[in-house]
Amino acid sequence: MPTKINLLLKKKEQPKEIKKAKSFLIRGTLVLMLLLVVASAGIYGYVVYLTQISTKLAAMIVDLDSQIAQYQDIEEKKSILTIKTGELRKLYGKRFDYLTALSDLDILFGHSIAIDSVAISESGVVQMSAKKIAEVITFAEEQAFSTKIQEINLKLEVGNSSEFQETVDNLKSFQGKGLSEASVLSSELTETGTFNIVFHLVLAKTGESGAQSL
Amino acid sequence: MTGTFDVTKNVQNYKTFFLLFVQIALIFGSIRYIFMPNIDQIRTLRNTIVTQELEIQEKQSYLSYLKELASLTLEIEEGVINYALPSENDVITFIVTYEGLGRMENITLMPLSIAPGLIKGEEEQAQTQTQEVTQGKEEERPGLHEFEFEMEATTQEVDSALAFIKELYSARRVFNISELTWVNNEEEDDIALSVMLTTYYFMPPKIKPSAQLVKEGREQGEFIEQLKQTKVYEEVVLDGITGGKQDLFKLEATPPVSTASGRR
Repeated sequence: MPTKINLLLKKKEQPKEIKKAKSFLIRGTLVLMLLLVVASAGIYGYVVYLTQISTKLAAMIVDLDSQIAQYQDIEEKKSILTIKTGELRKLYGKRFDYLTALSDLDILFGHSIAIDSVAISESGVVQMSAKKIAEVITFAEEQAFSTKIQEINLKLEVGNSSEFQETVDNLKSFQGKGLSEASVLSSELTETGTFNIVFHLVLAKTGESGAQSL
Repeated sequence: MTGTFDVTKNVQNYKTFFLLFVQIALIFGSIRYIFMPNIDQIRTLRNTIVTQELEIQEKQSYLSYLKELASLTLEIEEGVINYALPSENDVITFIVTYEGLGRMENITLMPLSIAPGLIKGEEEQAQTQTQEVTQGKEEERPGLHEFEFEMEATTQEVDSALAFIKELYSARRVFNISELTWVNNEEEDDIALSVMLTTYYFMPPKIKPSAQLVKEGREQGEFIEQLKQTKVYEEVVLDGITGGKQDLFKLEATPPVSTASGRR
């Protein structure tokens, strides 16, 4: 039996690892390209979808604007009402509470004076005429800090000259205890022998230490 | 033979590197030129949509508020606010309120005394008004106008006096007390109250309708509700008054004797 001789060069087989790697890379590249195409299409589709939504919403806004425009007269009336209401609020805000001020006066002096007349201005300045009905005049220090009353011009009727001095000393003692100022503006001897003294009392406000000389 | 093998091996390696390079280029290229712009666009679009949705919500709410106003609310609000602060020198609500206050129990209110033309702004304004009237072109400036008047009342009870002061601030027609005098008359055993009051009217400025103002107005609801609780006096207090000047505070000729003045 003659021996067969193969003269063709035997093709060198590639190592298995290289084959695998090559195949993996080719397939991987194809898969990746496919994925990228799909993802791009998906993203593009999503962009189109969002654009459509946005267009619809823009159309809705235009529609709402045209509906709102039909209520222009209502807007005009309400705008004026808003301005007027704002003015009303300011007017309400600047109102002085006279009832509280009257009550504060009662509390400030307790039952030590009897008020004949009182005039209160919205700036918190009080003109008051009163008689002394207790031995000493009391003054509620805490109330002085909370009331909206700023100043009191108190015309006080006292019986005689010794009572005059006592009253002055009495009111002077409240300086730094609710009053930042207590001064005598004027005094007069009446026909009946009593004295009318006009005091100028400035109420101390929170943070003031305030004693000034009489 | 060895050389052939080496070349093949090298070509294999080049192919591998080439494919790797292609992959990396594809990834970066796609990210840089396809994904990034589209993702940015998506982000912008989504933000736009969120903004549009909010705008729609706001506009829908605004539109339904306008519809609500148109149906009834505005009419009621106009009634309340225009009574409290008229847009012109409305003497009717002023007199009705004055007369209504005078009907309080245990209070004797002195008749309204107010000179024609007595509007704060005083002589100069009064003169200007006279000139304008004579020239036949009376134009009032927009804004808040005020005029002062005095109210005198007597009562025998402290509680009634206090209730009267409270009532002044409870009336819907807005008043401001600039000074209050309280005198205890021992001889007559009564309390005399003298109140310096200011009342107002507001000439609206010429404005363009503004959504901003409407929205601000929407937030004033609580105050308007409080205003609704204020007291409106029955117009029956004006029974018997047949007519007269439209504006008691203008400098103009006294109406014919046959007309009533509006005072008790």
